[in-house]
Amino acid sequence: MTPGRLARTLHKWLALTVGLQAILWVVSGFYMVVVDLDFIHGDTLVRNLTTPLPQAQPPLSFDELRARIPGIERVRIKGLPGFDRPLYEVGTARGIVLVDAVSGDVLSPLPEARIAALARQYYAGSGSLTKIERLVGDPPPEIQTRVLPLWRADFGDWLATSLYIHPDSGDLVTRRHRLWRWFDAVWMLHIMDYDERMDVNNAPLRIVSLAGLVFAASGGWLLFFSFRRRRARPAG
Amino acid sequence: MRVLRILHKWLGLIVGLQLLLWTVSGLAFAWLDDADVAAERAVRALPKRVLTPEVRLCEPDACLREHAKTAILDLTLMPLLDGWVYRVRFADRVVLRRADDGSLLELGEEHIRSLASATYAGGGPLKGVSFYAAPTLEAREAGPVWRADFGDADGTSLYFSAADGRLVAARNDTWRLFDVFWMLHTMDYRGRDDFNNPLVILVSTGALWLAISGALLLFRAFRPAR
Repeated sequence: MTPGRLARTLHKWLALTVGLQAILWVVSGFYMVVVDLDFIHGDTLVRNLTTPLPQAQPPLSFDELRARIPGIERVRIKGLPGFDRPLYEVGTARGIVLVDAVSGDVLSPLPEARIAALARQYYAGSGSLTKIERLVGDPPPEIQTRVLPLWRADFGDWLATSLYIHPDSGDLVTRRHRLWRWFDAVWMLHIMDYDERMDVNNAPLRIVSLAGLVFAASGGWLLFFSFRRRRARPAG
Repeated sequence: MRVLRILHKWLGLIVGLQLLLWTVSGLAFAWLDDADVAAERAVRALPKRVLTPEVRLCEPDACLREHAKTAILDLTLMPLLDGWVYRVRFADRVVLRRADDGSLLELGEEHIRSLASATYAGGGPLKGVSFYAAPTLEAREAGPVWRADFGDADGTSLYFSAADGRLVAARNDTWRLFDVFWMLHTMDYRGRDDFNNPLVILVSTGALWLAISGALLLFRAFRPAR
């Protein structure tokens, strides 16, 4: 078999066997490069991510806080949209306790109405809040790495935006939308991990990418022959 | 068919080299162990500490008086090394203050050495620490950082924020190799992370047509010869 013939056969049969995955790589790669990553992250869909510390009367002292809540690992003094007082976000081994820094009242876990109000404050789009739900177990795949419980707030816009809010701190934990979900799906196709969508060292990817390299290299090899023959043809 | 063949051939010539680089770098991502690349085994979580009644605290209202209160975004009381600090966040910067007396805490070489030794889980000695005011390729855009280098087989470097001492990056030689392939994959030869750059969009558009024309040609290639 001549080298040209060998390259052609190799390229042809690899196209048949790994060609579909090669097309998936190119198409998914194309999607990922043309859609702006900041948009995918949802930066344009949210606002009020930090609320300047509200000015209020001298708050509850740290000494009192320490006496009331055992096992404090950290304390954050912060504001939240819709609250006119500073808040203590107290981190303990058992989770977060949110405390009104002026009255000392424990506010966590926040009631549903408060979460809904926060969701509307965080949301920068033009849809309306269509559904709010407290996720306890069995997280949807789009937030599989997050710790539950979390509130999910869905908005009725063309992107089907979902905001995920922490039930105790009231912070916006993450956001998802249609183009993010597509990105995640094409990422799955790109790395060939159809379960967790995270493992870039899986065996199918390792094998097929090896075949993909030979596929591309045989195509490059073939170029020499196809351009040479074209030049030779008029002479012959 | 002839048009497809010509298209496939010329696109192959134009985007072929990058296509080869994509497959080579993609192969490297698949075969370089992800935990090695992330330097996971070189880093341990710092032990959590509890605020006991013995910890002396200066009430934030009293000890942060010199900052205009309206400028503060938030304030966190947290452990750092042996003591407790207030991490004060402004729109444009972060400062640390000692929680016992409210005095300004600027992290120096000794603090970073202690942090680095406490964070490092590998077996090599701490070779030295150095300060970088400007962004570096290894720490990316983390702001001013301290770099701690360890004498292990992986060439581990840990990066700590100069502002608040948090670990911002863990790197090693596997990561350095990975990052070169990453640059080749994203075609962002400067910052390496921007895969929405015009060049990669242009070339991947070419690759898309290369793939489509190739798929169509495949039908022809397997037709019985007449």
